Amino acid sequence: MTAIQDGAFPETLAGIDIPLGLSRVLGKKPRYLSLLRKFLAGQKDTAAHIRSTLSANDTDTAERLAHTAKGTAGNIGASRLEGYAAELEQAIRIAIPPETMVPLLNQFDEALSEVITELEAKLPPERSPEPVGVDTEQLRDVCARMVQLLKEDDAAVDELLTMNSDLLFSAFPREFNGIKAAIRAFDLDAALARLEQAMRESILKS
Amino acid sequence: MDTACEPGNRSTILAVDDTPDNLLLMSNILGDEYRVKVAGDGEKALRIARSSAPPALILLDIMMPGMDGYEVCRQLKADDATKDIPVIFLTVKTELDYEMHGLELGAVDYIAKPIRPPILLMRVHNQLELKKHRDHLSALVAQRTRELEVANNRLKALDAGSRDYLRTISHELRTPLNGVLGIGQLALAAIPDEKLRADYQNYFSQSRERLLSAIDAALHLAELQNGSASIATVPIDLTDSIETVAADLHKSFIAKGLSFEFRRPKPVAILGAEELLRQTLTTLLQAAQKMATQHTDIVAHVDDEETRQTLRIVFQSPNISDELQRSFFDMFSPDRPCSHVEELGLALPLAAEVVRAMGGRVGIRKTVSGAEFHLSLLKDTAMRAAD
Repeated sequence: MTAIQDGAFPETLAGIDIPLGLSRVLGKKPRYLSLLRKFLAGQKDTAAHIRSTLSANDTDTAERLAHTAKGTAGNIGASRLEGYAAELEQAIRIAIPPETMVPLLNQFDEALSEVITELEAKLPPERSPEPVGVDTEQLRDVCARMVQLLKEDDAAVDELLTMNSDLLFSAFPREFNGIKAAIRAFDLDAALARLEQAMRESILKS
Repeated sequence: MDTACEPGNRSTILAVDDTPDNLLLMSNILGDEYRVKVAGDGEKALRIARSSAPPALILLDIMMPGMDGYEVCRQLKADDATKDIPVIFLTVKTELDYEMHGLELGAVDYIAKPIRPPILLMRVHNQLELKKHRDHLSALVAQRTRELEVANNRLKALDAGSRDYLRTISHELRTPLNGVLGIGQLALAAIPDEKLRADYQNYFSQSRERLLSAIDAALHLAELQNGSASIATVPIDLTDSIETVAADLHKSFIAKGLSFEFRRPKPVAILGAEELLRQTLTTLLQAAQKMATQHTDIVAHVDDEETRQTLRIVFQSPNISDELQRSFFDMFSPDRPCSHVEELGLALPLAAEVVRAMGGRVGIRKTVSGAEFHLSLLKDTAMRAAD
């Protein structure tokens, strides 16, 4: 019933301590995979972002970006990257001179690139939803629960989406990716707006 | 099968973090045991905390764009509706001063990132347990306070009611009683047999005296207790009063095979009201007579204390209970225990009230072989100076 297939789980990932990362999600591989995907989507361009914010003298944002990179690298078990991100964050906070900053940025950038490249190569593609016949009553029920969870800011909406992705994709082919992206980013207000819009334009209208 | 939509009785945890990865991680770890709500920024976190379904606990990231975790915590603690929700900070910053700052703001705990699931689960569980106990305790305290207030108000009403009642009853009894006693006297006079008439007359007189003095005592007691009467004290000699009362009771001492000995025959100057003091002494000695073992001595002596003279009346008696000390002079005590002093009726509470009104103290305490009354009265300093 789970939408993520376990078969293609990578054996090793350069720069990532898989057992450590798995322990952060209580050993649940589907959850670890979704965490890795989130990292890939969210951190891919972080080094470039930090460079541009630093050259724009926006050190607050640069520090926060390094801080987030440190936290998310720690979550997935990328310990070396986590360490470099921590050094970088500290360096930005105490405003060290640019010539000292460059090597720290470079080592962070290299470690991040290694992890990103590795993930892009080895992470099994997320199972794409497949078109299925839509049962109106079932759709109505799933949407009602989803609206309820979104209104209550309940994190369980993520799992509800995963469990019903075929149904939702088939019912809302145009809006599905937008709803999914908003839920994955936990921007639940936006997700609610998109879902209600999709419902109005679907077989559920009346 | 999909239990995510049926929160049931699970506690709700609010996770606040600007990084979706962290929210996912926390909801993954906590989702099996708790209902997890998520907020991506401080404003949203405050909205959820202030909603009609507030979380039981908040996991709060410190470093967020816009409103940071410290500010969210400060606003939560400043609002009565949210100040009791425990806050656990999540942070990579483990330096002491950051931690102190958070704890000063009212956070209950810190969890270092990267999050280790067993630690997170344990800390959350612990804080929820603590909160449960705190809530239970305050509910218990509030309930007990309410119960006490109700009980206290009822007692007050009962107390005031019983005093008014006593006064009304005394007045209401006295009028018809005069009629009954008058008719009774006429009826007695109509008895032809001289011997029978004398017996009845005797019994009638005793009953009348007891009834009248009970009504007087009740009225007086009520007036003293509700403050509508006070007692003016003058210097008197306690020795003189005791000797007068002992002489009056001489016959009843002999009738019960008791002897009375007073070991302070010289003047003892106190402040009191002569007639009321005599009544009080009579009551105490009568009570001692009723309780004392036959053919024993009742001994009285006076202790000269700094501001008071204390008369002690010591007697032998079996079966003095421990409750006696507390309830002996108490009119409404449920366990006024000595059936043999019951016929003194209101005289004992009246004596206690009279002594109190004279600025003195009266009590009874158990001794090895019996009991002793102690009656403390204020010294008359003027007379002592002249002494």
